[in-house]
Amino acid sequence: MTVHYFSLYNCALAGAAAGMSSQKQALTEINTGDPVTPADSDTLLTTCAAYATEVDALLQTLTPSTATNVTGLVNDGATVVPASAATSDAAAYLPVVMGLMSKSTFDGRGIPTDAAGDPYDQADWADSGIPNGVVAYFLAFSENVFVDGAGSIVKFLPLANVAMGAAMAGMISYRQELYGPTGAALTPASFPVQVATSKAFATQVDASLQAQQLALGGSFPANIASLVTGSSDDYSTIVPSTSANQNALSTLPVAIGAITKAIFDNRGVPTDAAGDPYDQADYTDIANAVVAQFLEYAANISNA
Amino acid sequence: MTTPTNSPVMNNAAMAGCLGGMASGRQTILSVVDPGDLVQPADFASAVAVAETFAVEEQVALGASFAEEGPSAPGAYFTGLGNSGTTTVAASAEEENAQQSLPAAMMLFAMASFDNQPVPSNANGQITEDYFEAQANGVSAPFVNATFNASATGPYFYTL
Repeated sequence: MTVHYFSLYNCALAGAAAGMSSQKQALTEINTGDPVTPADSDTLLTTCAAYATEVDALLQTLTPSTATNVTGLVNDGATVVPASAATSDAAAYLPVVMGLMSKSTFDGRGIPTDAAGDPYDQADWADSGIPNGVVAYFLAFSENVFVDGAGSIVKFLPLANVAMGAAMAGMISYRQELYGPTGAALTPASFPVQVATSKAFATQVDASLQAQQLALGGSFPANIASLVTGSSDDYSTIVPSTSANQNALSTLPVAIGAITKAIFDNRGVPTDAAGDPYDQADYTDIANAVVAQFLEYAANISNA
Repeated sequence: MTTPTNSPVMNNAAMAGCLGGMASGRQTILSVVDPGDLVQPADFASAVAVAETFAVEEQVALGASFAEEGPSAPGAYFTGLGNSGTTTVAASAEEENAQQSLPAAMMLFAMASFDNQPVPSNANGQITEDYFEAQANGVSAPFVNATFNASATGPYFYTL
């Protein structure tokens, strides 16, 4: 089957390869400083390409009417250049969240091998149920994102959406809760819990960003402010028209994804004293810390 | 040959991955034991400085890897990111794919390289240059392989 969702495929591959390399130090010869050559990663990338191909095959079963943000990424066999707020937003959050969820799935696990000791090929991946689980989790995210335009309940839409997806990703990292080592099928029953608490976190991140914008005034990083247009309850993601716009949209969602995933890595779903998943108020301090780190980053990057 | 060694987006993505990785699993940004403590922006300046240093080394390592690849390098794909210090506004499928795929991939590989790792230092508490060079080489190798080359069954990365 020909690959269809090119950027999702690319990010699934990269995320899986990153996860399998995470904490393993197999690619970085830290103690010697010896150069690592591209050939060293062929085995890793071959099995990750097979994984990404299976992910793409599962995504191809989507119908355009049920996941318009996903299906709108590609048209006529090519990646769509965004022309609307919704498609620009989707292009900013979907590929990076696919990458983060794929990375979390394999964080600290190394390269899966079959009974003969060979790295998984696509058939092994299909049998494992792992791509199926990642796609199900990814769709649970994509079907619940914040929506651009009238009625938008957050301001910094691409940042909030990536924060939500990255929190979901972090909650499954290293824990192997969703997929047992034997490749047991994913149980999506818990997804609403993870979706709800991650969305609460992202809402608080957006609230913290808005508070910082008010507090800092003209000192608030212009690259962050440039991501959206509109006013209260009617915000929209920009469609890039300048290098600075494109840089901001290509960089900042990716960065808040990395910072957010790190915060949730290996923690599972946070719960309060009563054992309930965190709501928005519970996330106040964590969101403030993520935003503080993010503002420091945004103030020190290239905007060209 | 086009190289991404002067791509602002790639530089920023490498920084982001480094920042995320250093915090991953370590809970150094947030106090989980005492989550009521609010972390101040000033606490993050040193982490950003480390990430900036790594990103510079990463650009050097990428340039060297791309030079090794020679004619097989899909220059137009990377041109979609913007080189020579200016980001390209995506206007084609290839350029849009590059903007969606390459910064995210760089961030992911960089993050993996730093996941749960303390930043090593010498006896004087300084970060060693050898460490950053090795980390940068380790990140650029799979990144370049994934984006330039092909497996037995097809390309690793799709460019359209």
